Amino acid sequence: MIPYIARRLLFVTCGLLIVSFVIFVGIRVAPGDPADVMILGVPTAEEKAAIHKRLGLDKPILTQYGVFLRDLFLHGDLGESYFSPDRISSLLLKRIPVSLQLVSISFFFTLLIGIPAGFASAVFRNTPFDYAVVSTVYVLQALPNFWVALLLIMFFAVRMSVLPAFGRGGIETFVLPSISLALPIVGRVTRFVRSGLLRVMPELYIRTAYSKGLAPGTIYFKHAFRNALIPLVTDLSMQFVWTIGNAIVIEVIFGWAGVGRLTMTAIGARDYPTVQGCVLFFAAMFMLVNLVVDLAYVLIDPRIEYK
Amino acid sequence: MPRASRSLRRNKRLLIGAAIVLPFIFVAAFGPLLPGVEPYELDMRNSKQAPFQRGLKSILGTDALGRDVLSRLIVGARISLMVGFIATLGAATIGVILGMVAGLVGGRIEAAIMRATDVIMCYPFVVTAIIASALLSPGLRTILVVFIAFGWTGYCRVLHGVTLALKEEAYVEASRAIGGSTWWVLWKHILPNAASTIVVMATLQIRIMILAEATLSFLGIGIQPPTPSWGVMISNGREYLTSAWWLSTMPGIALMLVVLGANLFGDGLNDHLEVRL
Repeated sequence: MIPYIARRLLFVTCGLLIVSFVIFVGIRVAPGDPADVMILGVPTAEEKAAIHKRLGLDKPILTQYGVFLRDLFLHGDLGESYFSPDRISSLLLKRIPVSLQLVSISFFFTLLIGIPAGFASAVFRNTPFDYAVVSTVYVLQALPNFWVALLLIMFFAVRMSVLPAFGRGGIETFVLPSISLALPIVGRVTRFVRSGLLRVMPELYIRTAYSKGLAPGTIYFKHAFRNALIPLVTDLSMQFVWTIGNAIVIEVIFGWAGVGRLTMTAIGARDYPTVQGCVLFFAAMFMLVNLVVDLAYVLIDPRIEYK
Repeated sequence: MPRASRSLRRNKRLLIGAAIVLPFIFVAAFGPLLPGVEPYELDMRNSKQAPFQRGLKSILGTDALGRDVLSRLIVGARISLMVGFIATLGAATIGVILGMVAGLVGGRIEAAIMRATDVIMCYPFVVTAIIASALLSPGLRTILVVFIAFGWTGYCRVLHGVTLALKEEAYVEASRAIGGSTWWVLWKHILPNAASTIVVMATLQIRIMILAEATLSFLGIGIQPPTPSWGVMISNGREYLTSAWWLSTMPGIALMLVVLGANLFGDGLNDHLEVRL
């Protein structure tokens, strides 16, 4: 097991290196020039050249990448933002917890509501309750999350002045952002739990459990749910990753100082080092989530083992 | 082709989904040709009118510049749906072709294609689309390119599997024995078998593409104003949440209905064609 984890971590590192290279070259090749953003009005050729020289952009791309790698591995330094006096690493360190909090809380709500709802819907299938849940789920899945955010702001912040529309501080500022982020995903989780359970229920071992005289509750929890869990966990990992991405929009709407919003402003300003740092963060998150989920499979299904 | 699992008439989801989506498609195709549809005409005297204020004219209200919301919705329908369709079509075409080629040809080409598929599939569509579109100059062409570039992988994987499975079948060998070329085999045998899966995947993907276009346009890196895609309209209406709530609400309702309809239709189709994804 340990060699497996070690190998996966090695793959993650290689993957991150490749991503760093792709984004490094990509943003330098893409249209747009930080010099244009830095200088008000139309910059002259000399001013542009001077800025390029200061930022090290006049050297060939591979040399620049070499410098980046050297700074990264020898000094643990991701560089300095073009537009603020911060080092990228400290910028990221300040913002990562913000984004992670948003994503975790939303995901927690999603699981809190989605799993019981799907469970109940499967247990009471074809009752009016089930129909209500399924219809709601369809609607929820169709909601664009930025629109939901705006609607929620309109109702709760503007009309009823109950919750703040902007910013991040006490607990009340967490409510609207997490709900907007969670709502479209709750529907999908519910649906997956429901269909997973429904798929598993007709299986032979469930009937055996019934005939053994086990209580329905035990059957549902111990047998059905665990077996339905694996495709659910696969999908959940995908949903978590999607949530990280959708958080960007929510951060922009609610003005949270997270990595997502930083990415958007940095791309607009062509702040290369910041963009690199943010993209690396996202890539690392995706790869780590996949790794954690793969390891979780071992816990859920004892038949699975890695070498 | 797999037999339909139940008659079309009893497949409620398919019908409801189609009933929701078809009017939108109709409106998108023919709406802008109707008289009285003026999405760009400014009329500052009547700006920010609530819906239903002026009878049949501007029935859904006007925006800050006096433009009729309904007209903009209609033209926006065309744009949002068109992006979804074209992007999905492009992605499906590329993915299907690459998948079949990988399955049939094998060897290093297959390895290369499948490796590329794995790498691209690692990264969630939305984030990558956001970053890629933001880096390139935002606009209709950019998002089409980005969506197609990141959307083809699903089809490729499926077609690769199908091709591998079918390539050993007797009738393929027979076709080859009587001199059928590779392409002919692909066209006549492999494609029909994969057709239902492709169609269901495509219906699912259209919904993702439409939402992605809306998100990108909302963030300002998709369709640019004054072109009224629904995402742009929602973004424009954001300033007026207190004064003119209908500006952001209407396009959102439209979006939600279209996606809902596409979902229902896709699931219904899935059942009808008995596809296993």
